[in-house]
Amino acid sequence: MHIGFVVNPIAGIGGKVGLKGSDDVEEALKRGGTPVAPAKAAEFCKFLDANVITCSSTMGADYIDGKIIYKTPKKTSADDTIKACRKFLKHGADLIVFVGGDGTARDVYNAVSKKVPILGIPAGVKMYSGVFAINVNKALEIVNAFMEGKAERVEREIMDIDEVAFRQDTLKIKLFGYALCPAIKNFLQNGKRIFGGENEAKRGIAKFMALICKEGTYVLGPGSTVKAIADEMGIEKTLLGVDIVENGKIIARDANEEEILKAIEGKRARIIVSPIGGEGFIFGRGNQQISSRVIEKVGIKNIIVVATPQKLMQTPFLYVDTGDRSLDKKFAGWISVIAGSGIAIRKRIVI
Amino acid sequence: MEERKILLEEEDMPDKWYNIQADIEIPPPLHPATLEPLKPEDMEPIFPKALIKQEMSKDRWIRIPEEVKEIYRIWRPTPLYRAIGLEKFLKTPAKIFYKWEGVSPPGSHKPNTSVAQAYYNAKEGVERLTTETGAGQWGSALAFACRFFGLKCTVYMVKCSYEQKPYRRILMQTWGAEVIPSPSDKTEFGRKVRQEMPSTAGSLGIAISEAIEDAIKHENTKYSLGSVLNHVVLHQTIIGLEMKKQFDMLDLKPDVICGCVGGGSNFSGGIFPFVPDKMKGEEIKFIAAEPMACPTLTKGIYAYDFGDTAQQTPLLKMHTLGHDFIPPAIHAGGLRYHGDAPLLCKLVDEGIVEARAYYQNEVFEAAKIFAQTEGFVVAPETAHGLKAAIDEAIRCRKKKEEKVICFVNSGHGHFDLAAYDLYNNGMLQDYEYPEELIREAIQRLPCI
Repeated sequence: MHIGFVVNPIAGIGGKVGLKGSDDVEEALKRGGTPVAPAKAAEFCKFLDANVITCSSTMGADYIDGKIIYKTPKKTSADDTIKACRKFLKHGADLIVFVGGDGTARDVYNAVSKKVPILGIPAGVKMYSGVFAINVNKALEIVNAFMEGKAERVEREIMDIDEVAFRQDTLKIKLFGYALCPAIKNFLQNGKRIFGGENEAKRGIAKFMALICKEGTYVLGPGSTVKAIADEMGIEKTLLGVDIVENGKIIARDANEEEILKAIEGKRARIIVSPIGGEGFIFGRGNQQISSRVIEKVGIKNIIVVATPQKLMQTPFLYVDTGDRSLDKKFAGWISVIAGSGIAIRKRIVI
Repeated sequence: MEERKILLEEEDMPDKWYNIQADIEIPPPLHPATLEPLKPEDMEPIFPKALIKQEMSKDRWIRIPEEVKEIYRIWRPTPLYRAIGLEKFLKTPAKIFYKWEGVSPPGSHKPNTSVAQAYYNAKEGVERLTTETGAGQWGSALAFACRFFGLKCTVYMVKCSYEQKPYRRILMQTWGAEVIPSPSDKTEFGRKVRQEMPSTAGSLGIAISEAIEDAIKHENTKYSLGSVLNHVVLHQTIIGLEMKKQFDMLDLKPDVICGCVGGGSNFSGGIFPFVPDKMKGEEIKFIAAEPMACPTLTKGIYAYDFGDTAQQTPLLKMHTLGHDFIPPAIHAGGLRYHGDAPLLCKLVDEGIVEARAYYQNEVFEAAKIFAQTEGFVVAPETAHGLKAAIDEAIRCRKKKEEKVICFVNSGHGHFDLAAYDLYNNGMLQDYEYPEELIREAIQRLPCI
């Protein structure tokens, strides 16, 4: 069992100095920023007892005794994370643990996609992705469980925002894909026992919702849970985009805001979305095409939220961020999330 | 000093069950193939004659055999408690009582009928009983009863409970029963379900189908059901009959009686002896409490439906969510049933009984309050009835009413501590029944 361990040494540098990421290191340093990653990496490594493959100096070996298979340059970049992870794969890593934020998660994902599970130790400025452990202790627990064969593999979102736009106060968050992520079985396993795993639950949701979607116009949000509904209907839906289905046929694929508005003009439509696991956003993260204008046109009561019980168990509350605060406020309260065939779970939307 | 326990002597134990069929009429069960009213002989492949007779009897009082009473005396009469600690905590002017059925060896009200059923089967030469169980309360009650009458016992246990609640399985095995997770490969129906849904959690409906198939296909084997049917409810009336005597001792009459409803037997057993009083004009409120995840009485339709998933049982006129509805695996496993006792449904339909549905978290909150004020840790099923009683007591506080509230405390929760653990850690999900979408989905199903 080999654990690949990589640190983005500058992760978190932009946080306290008012930058919304660490893409602009020069600016962060100028403002007196210090990275968060080294302390987190040290804390994690202090208690880790594993066969580790890692990088030299600041990207790994400064914190842990491991086999060094990637030489860290003086000035690191995203490219180094990607190259290091590729080397980990070549050396037969069973799991890659990284210290960083969303940008690092994306780099790791770009290098390994779903070949091995990945786990993030949160040290970034923003962490919208679902691959992060809650904290260092939890990360250790998960890694130990993984090594003992007591963890399961779940799909989690890789999300990131456009930092240039973000610094100008425009929040654009994109879903980049799904990574494999180890998760501890204890509570999850309960879910697994009951529902036969997340895929079984997804099938239940898909079967039930496919019956509903046979008639009418539906705006289908991104993500694998919603895609499963389209699959059940025999429709080819994009995984990461917003598609529109009418009376069982697809009428728009990967639609933007204007295209959605046009497609639902004068019709009674419904929106089907799934929250981001852990994070809990149902609007405003990865599905901004479904804008406040679209939501207002469709009406809140015509929104159907779907999610597996496993995902909901890890998601204490749901959130919306449509960019229109007065619209957001109308979501406050309980919502019935479809979690299986004829099964719902009520969750609270917190504003 | 306020009396905390109201106890009956063994000799005060009722010697007859009360048969509500003398006082209310329900539409007859129908044969699944002919749709004609069921004849006694139609039931003979699965039930002994004495129980079929009780199922159809209109006699108001049915004598409890001495042999049954002898076993009952192991734990009966059960105490009626005054919940003084809970009253104080709620600051209610109401008096809260509970009939504590958790003192039986299997820990619930279920042996009130399992002992009777085992007795009648043994008397007619039956050698083995088959049954299903959800949370394991019924299965353990039947395993216990069979042991005392020399019968073999085969229990089909809903798979998710079999895995979640190994202790009840061990209890059944300790009393000598064979326990099989359902769906199983022992029956044709079980094999079919496993093929179609390899990782299903199972359901009571599926387990009933398996147990019936086993009974029909084997000699000297009969089937035993732990709820829903008239004769089961009949045996449970000993709860309410004792309660009546105990309230008489206090010179009180309950204004409200609450209980949880899965198939309806403990609640019916508690309230039926009081129903004639209400029909005579006495003011008494009956509240049936059920889970939001399986809201049979509050959201189901009142119609003829099968009792099991495989459509082998007679059609019963009852509130139902549909015989193919598989409720989510909530921790009150015993309440995961798509239908309810026809006798109880009739009372709900006529407005004599009021039904309420609750979420898991609020139910466990009630259970925790009870544990911290009264000491007893109750079963998650039972806690639904408790929640209704607490709500009523709070209403009394607001309205300054000194009502007498009683709930049937049907069993202890010592085998359900994993669920309490989830609740204590904020990990319990509030399941519910998406009524409107289900209606839409049904409309779009192809007509058969």
